[in-house]
Amino acid sequence: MSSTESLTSPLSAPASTNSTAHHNGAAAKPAEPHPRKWIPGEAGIWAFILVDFSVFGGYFGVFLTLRARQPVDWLAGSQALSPTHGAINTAFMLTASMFMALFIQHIRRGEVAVARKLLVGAGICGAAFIVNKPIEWIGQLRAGNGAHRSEFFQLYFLLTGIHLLHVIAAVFVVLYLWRRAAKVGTVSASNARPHPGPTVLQARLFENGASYWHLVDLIWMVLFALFYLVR
Amino acid sequence: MIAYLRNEIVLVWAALVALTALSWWLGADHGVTSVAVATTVVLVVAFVKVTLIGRTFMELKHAAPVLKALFFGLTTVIGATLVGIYLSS
Repeated sequence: MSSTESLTSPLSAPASTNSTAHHNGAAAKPAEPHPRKWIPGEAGIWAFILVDFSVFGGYFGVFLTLRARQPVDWLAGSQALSPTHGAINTAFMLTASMFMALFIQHIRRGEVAVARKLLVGAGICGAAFIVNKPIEWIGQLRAGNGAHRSEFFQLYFLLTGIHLLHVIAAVFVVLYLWRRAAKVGTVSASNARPHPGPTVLQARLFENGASYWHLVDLIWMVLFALFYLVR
Repeated sequence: MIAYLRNEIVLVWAALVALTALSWWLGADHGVTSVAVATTVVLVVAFVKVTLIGRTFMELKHAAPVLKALFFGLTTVIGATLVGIYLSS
């Protein structure tokens, strides 16, 4: 599969099907918009997403099972956390995901400058989450709510800590995509590339990164509900 | 900029923010009579949000049926299990 093949819509796979046009140096004929076997990114990233979500799902079950055994500790723990603080972090995550999804839309059209600005937006939201989370932790530690306090706080620091590592990794992914996006054929370079936009391999890379980001986002949706809102 | 207001991604983001606000209101002791009902709704809303993220942001609505089945099946199993554990406790 050549890196010169272009991509204009969510079709990482089928753009390569028009091999005759490609070998003639012409633009690949647009394939059907959403072929039946299309997946965003690669199978490997989806294996990771499903396994990671399953592991967190197990932890979510452990959290609620322990809550049933220690309802007093759990109520005290959840009331010590600020739902508003958690909701603000949720807004950061959702907004970063929106920017990332819009990035995919724009980069497919070869609108590189706009796409890279959207990545900056995603990175800023991710960084805000990374800054905000330790502030919350420090507040809890100063209030005497360390991991020693109860199993609720053990799980709180463990799971939000693992999730924070995911977010930090996601911000590095954003930085990497930001650099790689600069190499995508732009609309203004239409003389050199009849169909501006990422190659198939570039598109897969961007979709992999975006899918990972959204995984981090959706895990937080459940963590927010469990730790801050369940009574 | 106005075009973004009609973009499905932005509309879904707005829905997700609204659902977050609803969850926050339900979970922050704002006088809902039944705590169990409020928490059950909070859990269901969380997995509705996961589904929306998967469907639109992760583009699974266009993805191969097997991937859709795996993702949404897993989401349903985890969500239903959590609601079951909560209601049985």
